[in-house]
Amino acid sequence: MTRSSVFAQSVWERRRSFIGWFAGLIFLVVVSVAPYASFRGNRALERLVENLPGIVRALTGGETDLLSPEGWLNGRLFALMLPLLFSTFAIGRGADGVAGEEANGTLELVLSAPLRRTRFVLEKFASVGAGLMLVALVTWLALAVTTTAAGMKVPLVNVATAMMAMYLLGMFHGALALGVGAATGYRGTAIAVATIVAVAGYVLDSLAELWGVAERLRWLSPFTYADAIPPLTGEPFLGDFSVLAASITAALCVGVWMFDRRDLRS
Amino acid sequence: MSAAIETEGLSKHFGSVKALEDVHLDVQPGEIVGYLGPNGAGKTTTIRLLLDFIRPTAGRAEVLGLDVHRASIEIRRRVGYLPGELALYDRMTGRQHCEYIGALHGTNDVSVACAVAERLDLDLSRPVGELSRGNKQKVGIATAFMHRPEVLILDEPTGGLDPLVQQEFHGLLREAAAEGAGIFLSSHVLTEVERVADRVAIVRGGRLVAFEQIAALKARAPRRLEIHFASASPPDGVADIPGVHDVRIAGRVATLVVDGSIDPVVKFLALHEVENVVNHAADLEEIFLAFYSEGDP
Repeated sequence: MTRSSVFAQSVWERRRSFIGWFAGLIFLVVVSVAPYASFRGNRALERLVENLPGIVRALTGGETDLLSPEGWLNGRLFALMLPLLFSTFAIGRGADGVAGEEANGTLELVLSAPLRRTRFVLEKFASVGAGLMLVALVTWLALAVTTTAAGMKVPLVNVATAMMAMYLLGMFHGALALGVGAATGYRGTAIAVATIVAVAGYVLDSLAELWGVAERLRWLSPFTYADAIPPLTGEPFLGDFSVLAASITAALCVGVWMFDRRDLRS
Repeated sequence: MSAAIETEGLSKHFGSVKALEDVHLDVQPGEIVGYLGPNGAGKTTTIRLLLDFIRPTAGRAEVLGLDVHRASIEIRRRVGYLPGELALYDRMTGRQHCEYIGALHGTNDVSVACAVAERLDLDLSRPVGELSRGNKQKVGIATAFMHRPEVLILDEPTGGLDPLVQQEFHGLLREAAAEGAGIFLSSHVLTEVERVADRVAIVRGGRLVAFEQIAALKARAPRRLEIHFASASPPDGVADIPGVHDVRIAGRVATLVVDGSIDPVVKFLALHEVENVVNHAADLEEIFLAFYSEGDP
């Protein structure tokens, strides 16, 4: 049954938009990975990369060797594009979860049924999580095919764990949008807060090596804990992931707590 | 047996705005109570309090003997609700709405919803986005009735329905009441309330200004009499009859408004030759307007 729960209904309702997301991400992965073969072993390019100004290196994925498979994937996808797209997906779904239904007026119809507000938010969270998981899975499959074809020797397990970093980062921003939407009832506020946090987090993290203030505040940025290089290169990363998981839980709990105590908007 | 709905001193303030103030009302099982008031009077606020969508500033409300906040899940299991501004999912069909709401109630039985839809002449197979306002309202009605609720809370339920469908809907209400459901019906359509309700509550500026049987309300309401005297002009003293006001004289005819008992008028007329007396009994609309012409509470 396609509409047996808030979770199922939420996923089903937005099923058509997945096609666009899948197509866009597959295209992005192909055009990002395909050029790697022609740059690999190009000494002139390697020298050029070595001499790039620090700010350019910072904004394209940090200090890692940009022409290594891990550095290439990180610079082209994991440092900016995938965090941006995964967060955009999750923020949109998160903001729609409670605040969107409240603005549309459908929230009252659903909550007139015997359904706890907490459960409603958690099912919405699960629908965001399942949707983003599908997006991440398709992206990973596209990466598996294209990195193999391009001769990149990056273990697919490492790509999967890097994808998990992207997933958790996106889910943090999605949980924040869902939580703010649940707490306030305003979709615009939910999108604005989550987007500002995402942009500020990216700026802090990417400028940390160049600017002392950003370096001191870097721990506040969720991007700090979603660095794809450790998982891509097989280094330890579980501590970072647990920070993201804890942040997701906190955003969700605060949102649920406030949603349960406030008046619904008419 | 517990009341279907009972409120005591129910109040709701939004900042400095007193949307609802000290409302006491009840709906008994098998009874239809009409809840009247103009826009912004507090009707929807009352209903949203009963559904636990908003929380009271003061007072309490119970549905089926249960506190509306502490037992909201149990209450919503047993209540059918139709919002005043019904919003549906445009891409879902009417039947899919019934399946979804049914699933949230823990059932996949949509037979009652289908039966209601058939009576209201609604095609459940069409996406809601393609339906007229009236047909969307029918989807809302079908979902409100589908789990055979013990209490129905309906906010302006007949908006957009044509007269024939309204009649069928009133039949549904009467049948539900006959089966023991308590029905709380907010409306600004006075004729509708007059037709189906046992009691009527009138709310003004957030306060309940009347709550009684429609017949009692009518009996208590001012009545307008048109008295045709046999003499060339009405006798002196008409305006001095106790309880009489707004006297107008036109030739041999005196038109007056009587508050309360008509006995002093009858005794006065007995002393004079009268050709005819026309009693313009107040309808609910006049009563309603009288409550609202008394100025702000």
